[in-house]
Amino acid sequence: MNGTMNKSVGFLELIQGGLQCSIQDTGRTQHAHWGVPYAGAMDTFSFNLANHLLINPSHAACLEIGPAAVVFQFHTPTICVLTGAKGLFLVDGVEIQRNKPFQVEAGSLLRIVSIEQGNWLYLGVKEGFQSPVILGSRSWSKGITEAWILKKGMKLPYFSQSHQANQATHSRIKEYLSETAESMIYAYKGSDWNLLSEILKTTIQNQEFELGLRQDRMGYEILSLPSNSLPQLLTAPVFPGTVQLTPSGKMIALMREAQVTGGYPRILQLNEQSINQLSQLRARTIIRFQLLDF
Amino acid sequence: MPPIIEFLWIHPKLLEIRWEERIDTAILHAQLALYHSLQKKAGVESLRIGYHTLNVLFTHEQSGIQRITWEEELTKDPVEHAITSSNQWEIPVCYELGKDLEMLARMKDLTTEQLIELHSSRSYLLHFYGFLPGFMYLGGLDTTLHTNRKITPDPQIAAGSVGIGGAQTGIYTLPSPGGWHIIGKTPLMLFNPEQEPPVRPQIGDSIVFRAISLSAYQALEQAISQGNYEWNHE
Repeated sequence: MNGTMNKSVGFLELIQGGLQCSIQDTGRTQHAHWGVPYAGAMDTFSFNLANHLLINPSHAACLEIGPAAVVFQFHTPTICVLTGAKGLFLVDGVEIQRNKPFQVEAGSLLRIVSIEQGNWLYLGVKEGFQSPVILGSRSWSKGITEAWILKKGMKLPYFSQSHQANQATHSRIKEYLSETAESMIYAYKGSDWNLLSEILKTTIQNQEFELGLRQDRMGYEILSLPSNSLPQLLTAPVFPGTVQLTPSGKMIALMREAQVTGGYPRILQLNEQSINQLSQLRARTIIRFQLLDF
Repeated sequence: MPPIIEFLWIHPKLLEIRWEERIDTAILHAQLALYHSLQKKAGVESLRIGYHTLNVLFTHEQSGIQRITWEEELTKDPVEHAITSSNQWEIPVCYELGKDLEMLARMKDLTTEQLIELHSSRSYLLHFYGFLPGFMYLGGLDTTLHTNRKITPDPQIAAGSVGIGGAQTGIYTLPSPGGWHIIGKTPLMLFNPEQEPPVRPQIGDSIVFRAISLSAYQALEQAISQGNYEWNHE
């Protein structure tokens, strides 16, 4: 990749909406011991897919778009792709298909009209968004990057691309967004699994649970086990995918932006695929846990 | 050295090494000895410390035989070299700016001067970072000052606030909601994402709080904003 000096920088500007939108890449994996959240894309499968379809480096930054209508304008031409959540997406009034790269022109308007299934949509651009790298990552994170919430008028830099067809990639794309109402979440026993009573262990493996209303980049609420009197624990490391049990019986699945230590019992640890899958499930969805042995 | 009591594999890439569940300097020394030895080993992706755990994330899934080999190796690893060099860092604190100082002193039947003396006359051990970027988990708070967290947390605690929660004392590095009793404020920037590493004190170092006046706080705040401040440490 020489010739960077000749590249011209274009911008994506937020025109309207923009709740829960942020630049994300593969996150900060080497700084958690200083208290820095991992951050990174909520659904790494869809994030990786976006870069794969654009033939980008695997760590190229995408815009992660939360489940709300939003309008962006491109200042210069580039090639993009949308992956992740399903919905109605328009570029200059023409409907865009997920997982198919498309060309935009200077002044093109991208409208995320609605998100109908899933929570997180990824907008990839050729070569990735070029916002600053802090502690090894472009991922926005409170207290780490200067910007951490997308605001109206904010301009996100990318390298402009002249007209050229993106080389088609014909890899098969496995769908994570399941059509069924019930979703199976795969989990290992967590560090504190053995503190649970036999009744609670059985309940976790056999009952259905409902996703609570609290869903954000830090954590997803899962309702609900009976309230419990498990001991208060000394603070210990937690990871994305750690499921903590609170005294009230609510479970909290920690997501990408979670704190790196916690004091609640860590009862489960989701595998990577299930973190991605859970991230795309909406509040009120019914889930089940399947325990993983190894 | 306190012995390891359990090797717990959470999944094929994540091992939790456990010691007895207590806040203890000797456990931290055992953790650090293993930490430094594991840092040099191939196949180790990252290491994380809690009060009584050391978590090892491997780059690849470990087979059953590999897991047993790790456990054997870690059990017989020489642990004499513990802490090679340990710094003591001084954190200036203006206790006048602690909004809960008087209330906490009354709860403890102390004068504010006595409370400040109890807090600033000893050194604290940095066990690990967590909660917020650059937030230090410190051991060594005088038992007189152990205080349950507030029942209703404050919606916003300012960065630099020094607080007491349970058996711990610590410094908020970012504005955050929190349930700790705020007894002072430091002008120091404890986390700087523009620097690598973004923190100064290392795990195993010690921290002392030095009481300063409001005017000294303001002078320091100005010096820090102009980049004219170097942490005192020895």
